Amino acid sequence: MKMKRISFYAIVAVVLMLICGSREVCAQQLALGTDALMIGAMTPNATAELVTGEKTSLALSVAGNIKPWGMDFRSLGIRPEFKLWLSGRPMVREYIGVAGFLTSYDFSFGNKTRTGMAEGLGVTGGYLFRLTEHFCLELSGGVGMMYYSQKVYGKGDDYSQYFPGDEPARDNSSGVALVPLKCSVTFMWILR
Amino acid sequence: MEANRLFSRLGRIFALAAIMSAAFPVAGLAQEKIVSGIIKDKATGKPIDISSVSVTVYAFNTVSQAQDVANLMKSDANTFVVTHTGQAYPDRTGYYEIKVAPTGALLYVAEMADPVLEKVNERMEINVTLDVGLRITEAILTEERDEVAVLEARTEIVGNILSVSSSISLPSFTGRPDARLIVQPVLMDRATRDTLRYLRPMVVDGKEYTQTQKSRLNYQLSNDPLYKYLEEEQNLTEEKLTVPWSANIYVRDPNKEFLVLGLIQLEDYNWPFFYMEEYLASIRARRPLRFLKYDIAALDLDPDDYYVAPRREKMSSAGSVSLQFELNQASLSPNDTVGRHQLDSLKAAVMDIVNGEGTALQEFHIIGTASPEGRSESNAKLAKKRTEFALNEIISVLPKYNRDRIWSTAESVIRPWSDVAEMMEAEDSASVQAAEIRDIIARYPKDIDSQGLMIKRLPYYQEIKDKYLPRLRSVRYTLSYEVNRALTPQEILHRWKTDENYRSGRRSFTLHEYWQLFKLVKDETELDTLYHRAYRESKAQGRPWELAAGKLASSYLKKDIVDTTILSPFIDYTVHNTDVSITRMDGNGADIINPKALVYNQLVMFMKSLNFSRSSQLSQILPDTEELREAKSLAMCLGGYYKGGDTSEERERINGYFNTVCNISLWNKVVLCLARGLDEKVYNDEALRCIEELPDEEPKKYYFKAIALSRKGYDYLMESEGNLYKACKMDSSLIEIAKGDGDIREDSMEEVLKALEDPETGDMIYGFY
Repeated sequence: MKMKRISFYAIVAVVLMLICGSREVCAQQLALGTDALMIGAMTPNATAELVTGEKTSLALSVAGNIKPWGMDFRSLGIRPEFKLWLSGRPMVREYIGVAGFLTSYDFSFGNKTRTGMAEGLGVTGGYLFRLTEHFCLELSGGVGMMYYSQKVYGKGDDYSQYFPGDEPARDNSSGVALVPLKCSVTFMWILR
Repeated sequence: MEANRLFSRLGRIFALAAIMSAAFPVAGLAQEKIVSGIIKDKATGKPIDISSVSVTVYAFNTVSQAQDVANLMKSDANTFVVTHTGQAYPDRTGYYEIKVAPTGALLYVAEMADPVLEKVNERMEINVTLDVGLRITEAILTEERDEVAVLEARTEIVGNILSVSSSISLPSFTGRPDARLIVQPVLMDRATRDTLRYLRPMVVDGKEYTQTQKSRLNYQLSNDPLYKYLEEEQNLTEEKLTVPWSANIYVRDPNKEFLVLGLIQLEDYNWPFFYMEEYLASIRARRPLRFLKYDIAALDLDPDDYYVAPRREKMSSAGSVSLQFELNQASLSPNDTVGRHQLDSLKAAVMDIVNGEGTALQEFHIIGTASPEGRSESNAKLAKKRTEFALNEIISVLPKYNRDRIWSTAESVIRPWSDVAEMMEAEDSASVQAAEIRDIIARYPKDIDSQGLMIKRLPYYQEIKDKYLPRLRSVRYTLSYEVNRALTPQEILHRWKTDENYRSGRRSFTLHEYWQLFKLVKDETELDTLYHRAYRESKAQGRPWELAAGKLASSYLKKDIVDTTILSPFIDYTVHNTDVSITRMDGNGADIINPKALVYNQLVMFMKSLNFSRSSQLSQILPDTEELREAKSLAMCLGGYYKGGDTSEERERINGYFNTVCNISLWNKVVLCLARGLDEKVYNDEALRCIEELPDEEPKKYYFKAIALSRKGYDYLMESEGNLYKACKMDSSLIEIAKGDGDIREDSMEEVLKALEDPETGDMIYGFY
């Protein structure tokens, strides 16, 4: 229930960003990119960024992986981000932003398996280098608060057996943590 | 010492001239041909820089002549060459052309350097490299600026074109890759400081600015309203940058003084972070042809070249005859020889019309008036009979055919006694008697008979009867007739001289009649009136008449009145010839486009109105004849075509204009050589030489000398200032001219002004010059 509420708030936040960001736009600039660091972590990802105003843009990143580097790890997440470009024009030089994320994960580490969802909100910042007219390199990072709710159980165990009888299986671990929201080296291509 | 040097030089000149004339009969009589080539500077390997080195190419018909001259020059660098075979100067690309015998030689002379001799040997192209030595130019000390500044502002007005140029210097860290520089020039009137117009702006972007601008505008920079002003060859960076700016601005009145104010702004993505206003052009403008002297007379048009065929027209006439009738009779008195004669004359005039070629009598009317004495009823009857008598006398001589076709009437009127009173008052100031008569009239207002009876009783009635009553008796006639023939010149002139309707303009002459009058009338004022009327009337009918317009324009030019609208309907700038005949669409005759005399007069008109762009345009339409050459060349030079040229044909043409105007007078040669001498040093030297021949009492001689000397370098600066001081002392009006003249150095002007304020000191400093 709590998780649903949090998910609901996260979605509302994204919608609010979209509404706030959709102000007068000179020309609809659209860029696509990918985070090289994530690729290095064998996590395919894609980012789409839409300029929403003279100094603002909205980016949506999606990433997911299955057994990266042979590790017992699976995840899938999205991260909307609203950027305010301090240089005065979108998609050039420095920016600050607000980002949220929602991710599901399932990994085993040591003799424990953890399966759950995490969502969060935080602040970001970065610098974009215009290498050519269309090609850009963005270095960015961010930090935020994450709420997680997960099932923690022994590796190889059947989690449902932890709940005898008709008791529904529920998460047995949750919490809030301050986490790095983002640490990216993103290559982007401005489509138009 | 000066005299010795002069004689030494003269001696050498004569020696050289003697060599030339002695050798001439032996000289190659083979046909001369044109040899061309490029002259290069040995030190740089590039074409010779004629703005800093004076180079002359001399042609000799034999190698020996050339060798002799070369040897003389090597022994004395001050040798002055006089050759009848020709000389030439390279242009700014180092290119030269000269005529020389195929077996002759060319001598290349560059200032103090040893001359270089080249044998022609049938060659058509001879390229030469001259060693003019290392030229030590002025040392310029530079220091990095820390402020944005406008440098090297230069202003020149030639013809109607104001040419301005300068550089905008941006120190390090002023520009940025994410910034834009905008320069908005504004043309202003220097006297009133009014803004005349905004000129084309200049925009320089940083590289990043361009990139982001493109993506903002959907990669179509044409969406940027300032894109068309973008200087694509330059980019703003954080390094120091010098941005050149220039403009050629058309100005209607080149005698005005102008300013160009620059609004300079640097802005990034967010806001403008730098703004300044600075003059982009020097306030002190060069006007190289300001002192050119010319006086071009208008061409007078020969009316015989513009003959207009005559037209037929309708006329009318009126007059009166004085007839004496028998007492109480409607027949003429046997003593009235005058009346009889007048009747006979009128009959003859009527018969002339009836019998004349191309004439037809249309109407004839007679009005007879009788005096009021006697019984009015019988008076009226008698008057009617007498009028009918007169009418019958006239028309009885006409053939029946004409009588039946003429509208004739006879009318009789009895004059009132009030007319008598008016005559007495007006002519004899007999106001008392007149009042008495009016009293009687007032007492018997409708009874003429009673009025007559009472007036008869007046003591002065006899006088009335003898003096006034006869004048109330008259017979007036009017006749209308059609004249279907052209008037003779005498008739036309007579009409102009005597008919007030025509003189005042209430009635118009035909074009043929104007054509005749242009030839017959001698008075200048009357002729001007006729020209004006003929032009105005023909223009109102939609077809302005060339002769009237040309005569009017010619008359205006003689009086220094400028009106370029008179001849403009006759000029077609798209047709590059004069006297072009174009058959009319209906096949009925031809029209002449660009009549030569009109084009010429319009050229003169534009020159007087200081519209040199138009006058030079018209000059190119006119044919190249001896008669027109001077005016054409003046127009072209004043339009700025006294220097330059991209092709050899253009350069030759321009040199032709230049030489023609130089040949008008020594004064003009000085002015033109000075004008050209800024960029071509050889002309500056030539100007200096010619200046010496100007009269010493002419103040502008020293003004010119000051300009020419200031260009020779710092060594001549003092002498230049001395000459400027002398010129301003002799003619104080030159002070204001010099203050605004870009040809005069600003620092020199300041020094001379100080000296002028303290003439004693000034004379001490500059008296030597």
